[in-house]
Amino acid sequence: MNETENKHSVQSFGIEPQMNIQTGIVGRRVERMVWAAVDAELPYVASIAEEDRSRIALEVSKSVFERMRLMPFFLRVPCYLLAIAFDMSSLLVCGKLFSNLDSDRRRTHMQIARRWPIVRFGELLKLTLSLMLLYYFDHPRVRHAIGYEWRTGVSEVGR
Amino acid sequence: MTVHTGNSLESDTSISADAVIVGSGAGGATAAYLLARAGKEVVVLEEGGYHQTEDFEGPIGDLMGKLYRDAGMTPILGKPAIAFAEGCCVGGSTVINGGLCWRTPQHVLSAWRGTGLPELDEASVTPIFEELEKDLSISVQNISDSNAASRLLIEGCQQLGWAWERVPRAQIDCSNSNRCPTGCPTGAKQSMLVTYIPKALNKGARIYSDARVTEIMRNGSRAEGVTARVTNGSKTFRLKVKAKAVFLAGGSIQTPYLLLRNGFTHQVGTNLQIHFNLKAVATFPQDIEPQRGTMMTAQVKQFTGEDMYIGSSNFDPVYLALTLAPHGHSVVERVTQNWRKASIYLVQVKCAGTGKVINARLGRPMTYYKLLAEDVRRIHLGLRRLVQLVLAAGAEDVFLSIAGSSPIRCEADLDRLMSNSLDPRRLDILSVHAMASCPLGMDARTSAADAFGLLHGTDNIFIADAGMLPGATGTNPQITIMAMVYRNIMSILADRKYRL
Repeated sequence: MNETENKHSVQSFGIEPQMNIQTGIVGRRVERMVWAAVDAELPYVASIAEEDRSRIALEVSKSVFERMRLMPFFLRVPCYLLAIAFDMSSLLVCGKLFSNLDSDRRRTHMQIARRWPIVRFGELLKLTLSLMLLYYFDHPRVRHAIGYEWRTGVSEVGR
Repeated sequence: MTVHTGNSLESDTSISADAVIVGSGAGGATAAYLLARAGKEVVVLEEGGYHQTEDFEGPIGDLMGKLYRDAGMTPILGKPAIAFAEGCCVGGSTVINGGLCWRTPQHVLSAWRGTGLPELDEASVTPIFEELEKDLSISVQNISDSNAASRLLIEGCQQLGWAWERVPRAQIDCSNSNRCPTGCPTGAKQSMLVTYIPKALNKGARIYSDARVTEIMRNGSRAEGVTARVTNGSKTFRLKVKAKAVFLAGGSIQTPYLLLRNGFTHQVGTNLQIHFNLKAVATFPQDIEPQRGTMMTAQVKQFTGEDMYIGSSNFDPVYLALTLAPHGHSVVERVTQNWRKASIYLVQVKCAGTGKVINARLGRPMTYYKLLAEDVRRIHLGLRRLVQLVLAAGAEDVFLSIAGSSPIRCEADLDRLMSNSLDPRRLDILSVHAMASCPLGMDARTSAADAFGLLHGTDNIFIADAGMLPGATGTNPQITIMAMVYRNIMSILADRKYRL
């Protein structure tokens, strides 16, 4: 698959990840890496159409990045550095940035990188994917799709 | 009377009081109420925001951002890093806990008494517990109203012949909204926010939210008050509070950090003790509708003497997915789509060693805990017991918080998992209880504060949070913290040497 096709696979259904221009170059690189990880690992829910899924992936990845951006300085800096290093790490293996790989290869690269002996990407991926699960299953569309909807006030679900 | 939020401050301000209390959780709110009730002028400074019952609706992620320190992402560094969660809002962690209020276990109190600490005998502490339990409407709930996770836990205990007890919780008419960790949206949970905070306000206490204390103003061994940085939108103002006494109740990590920043180092932050929480998802062959009924109504009490407790946990697809995260993509997909058959359990284990709170001059405390071999042994034992319990209750698959592990279907699976010299770094450990980082004690060489919380080497700085406990309680510490603060405040008020 060439570079153009890869980009197309990343920007599926015309939903292009619009990065936050106020985050600076570093922030945008991190945001793109987060989006690429989220898009590849987002769980499938049968009743959510592929187009909706891509839209949700984008919303979720923005929330994940926003949460990282608000982390205390001493956590945020290593997290950003690791994210950029991770994005570049696939250059060694696949010859392309992680965020430019197709989803299958992104998933494979994440599995390999978890066990990387030199740089410990495991903690970064654990953080990213945990936040992804938090925001994904918190999403009203997903909760509706799996039949679990939070009702305000006294929960009728809980009754 | 209301809470002064950061928005109410328009310039640098100085005020004075008899007592300034840093923090508004279990310790701070109790101290505020008792001191205000005794006629003292009280100012409470809370770093977090002021959010009321009607604010506790909406997405979990948003509420975690509002109510938790660092949105629930404070790490305790080590191998593995431990995810530590604590409240950062008016009411502190009582706003986001499950309202479980076990009295201090007898063997723990007995050990503390053994160090010579006075007024910890049965006759002294029982009336305190009784008063607190009345004020917080602590009661056990009907098992018939329980959710399936609690009922299955009881079934498992009956199969194995294990002791279990109904859980005492601070609640009135819990309506099973199942949202304890993000603030009770019905006001049923009797957190500090709806009990001692309003009571303190009614007695004239002034409470400022969005106020992070950065400095303890000193004159020799005497504190003259504190300075806080108050956030009002994008602006920050200084709030100076002059007071006859300073009570530190920011929790076991923030209190030692504030002390270290201000040059108090003796036994400060060096004895941190935590509880490890290890979660597991159990799936059952039948739909159990885990969201229906009251959460956490029963707990395994068979292993109290070992400071090990097994219980059910709040259920939500978010928590389910997060607990399954170490098992990867496909397991998360499969189990969350069948969430009606799943429930979440946890085993809580007391640490064997001690951690540290460090001032690394990064503007935040750094916390470190080195997992000992004994910790790993206890965690393995706890997980084994949890697996035994849920299998006895009829679970088909048990997913432990161990990265890359396979689902456990029988004890032999567990043996295989544990015998492979399990790397502790694969464990996904949470903690919501940190204690004993500035312990009180009779021996000044081994404690940070005297028998009633007065910081050694000072005339009027008191520790009034979980940090002053002599050690970890093993069980949920809220009522222990409150009882110890009650005991200390009563002594401080009665003793003229404190000049309060």
